[in-house]
Amino acid sequence: MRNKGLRLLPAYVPLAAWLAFSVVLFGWVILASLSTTRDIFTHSLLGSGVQLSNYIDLFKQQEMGRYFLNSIIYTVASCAGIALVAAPAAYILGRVKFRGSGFLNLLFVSAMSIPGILISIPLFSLFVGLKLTGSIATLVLIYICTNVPFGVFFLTGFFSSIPKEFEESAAIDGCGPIKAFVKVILPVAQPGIITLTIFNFLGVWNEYFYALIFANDEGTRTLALALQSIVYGYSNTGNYGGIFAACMVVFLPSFIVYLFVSKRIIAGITIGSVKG
Amino acid sequence: MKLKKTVIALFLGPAVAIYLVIFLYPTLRTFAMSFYDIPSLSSKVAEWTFIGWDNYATLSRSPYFLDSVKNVLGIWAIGGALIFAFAFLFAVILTSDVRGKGFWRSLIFLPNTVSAVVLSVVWLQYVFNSSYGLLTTLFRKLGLTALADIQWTDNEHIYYSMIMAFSFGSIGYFMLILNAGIGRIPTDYYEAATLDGASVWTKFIRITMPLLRDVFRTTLVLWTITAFNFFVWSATFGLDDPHTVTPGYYMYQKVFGKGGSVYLEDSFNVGAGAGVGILITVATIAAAVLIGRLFPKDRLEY
Repeated sequence: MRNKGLRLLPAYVPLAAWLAFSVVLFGWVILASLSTTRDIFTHSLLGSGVQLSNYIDLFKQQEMGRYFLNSIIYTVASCAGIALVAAPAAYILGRVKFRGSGFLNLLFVSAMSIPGILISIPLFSLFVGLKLTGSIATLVLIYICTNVPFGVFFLTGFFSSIPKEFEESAAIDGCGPIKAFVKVILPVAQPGIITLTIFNFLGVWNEYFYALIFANDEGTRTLALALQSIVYGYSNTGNYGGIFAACMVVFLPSFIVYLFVSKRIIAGITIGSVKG
Repeated sequence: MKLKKTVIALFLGPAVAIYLVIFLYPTLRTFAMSFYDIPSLSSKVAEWTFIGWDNYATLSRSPYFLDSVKNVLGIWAIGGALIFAFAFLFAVILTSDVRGKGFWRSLIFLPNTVSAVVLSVVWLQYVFNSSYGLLTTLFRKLGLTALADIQWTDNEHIYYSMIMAFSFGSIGYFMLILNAGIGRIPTDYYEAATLDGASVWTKFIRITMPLLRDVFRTTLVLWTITAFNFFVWSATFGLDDPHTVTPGYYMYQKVFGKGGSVYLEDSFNVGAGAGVGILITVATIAAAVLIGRLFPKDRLEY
């Protein structure tokens, strides 16, 4: 046993190095966010005690609260919309045999590899033409649409693994196909939908490209974009404590979610990779 | 299972409509746009002028575009080497008998879940900072003044600094896929090799690598797609620095950039921007095909 531990020692060195780097990185930023800029530059974090003023200023002077709310709206509305569109489609593709189902599967898989850069120009013209720019709904719509192909692909596997007895018994109870889907199939497929929603939550919360194009003004800006403009302003005025506090405000929500669901995320990626 | 056609249409309709409107139509339109001179983003089709391959010819002569291509190929090669080296290292370690595998996996994947803006700011303003930064403080403590004095974010270094910071945030994902692939290799192979006295390194080269070829090909294609579409970090880390501009970001600056960006070229039009998008897509497909040729599907069954 002791021998085995010694043999594995070299394996722990890179792991410990990664852990140390992560702890220093995030630990330092947390402490810096609670320090004054002078403390940061004199290498004495928290030298003047714990300062919450960096955070208070962000919400009082920089309207961080509004951008926070924007990002919550974007994330919640998009996650709901993606599941609403992708689940029924994946249900059909995963369980019903009909002519062209293989072709449709291929369409959604191929859509996943179409780069955002390629479609962004016509999408922008399209939304300008429809007078749909400049509101929160625009970016929500973009997020729903661009994430549906992955959602369909991801959920198809889950739906196809549900035994067909579930619908048969629902039919015997007199349920129509829509009622059977909502009352019987969706609850069984819930784990898949939850995992998909976790992926979408992280993806939308951290999204940058479409936000930059479709929601880069005062009223509609996402938290990540707001962070960038706040950092730009603060680094001009030399408010470094504020910069790190702003980072924490964007980082913490996704980190807290990750703490609770990291196992699910990792299982989701692992299953996807083995199947693909 | 059988369902009425109307039910099928109702369930599939919205997703198919999205595919047609959000993916197919813009792809075709971008392709068409790349052959036209289009003065602005809001130009109507009537204002387009057909110019054949001129947009591509313009791009092939633009030094900024050619530099951006060089940059992206460097990101693909250097970033790829960094990411795969670390991803393989951790994937192998996490298939050995180490304790707390779940914890380590979560920890190494953590940076992948952090916003690129946050990661960029933390690296720019903390790790690479020249007065209180992590690297300069560390090197100074170790007495390595030459290393401590490096200005990580100046013209000379920012490109490599960006690749380093970006790679840190991407290792976890590739590690998970490789880790799952190695986990599927039957353990008897390793046991037999251990009995024959094979070292860890020999086992990696002789067993893991050959049996992992399919998984490696998939991850290489994924990395190529990611690298060729490199955009976000040019914006969040490079902050318009021409040394970090990739074709994707070049397109953004030209087409969406506000108030005409750093280097105005009169000849540039939205059609040329569409051309950049087409070139990125064609390059990605070509690279995927090439990778498929270099690593043909494995005939080995296990």
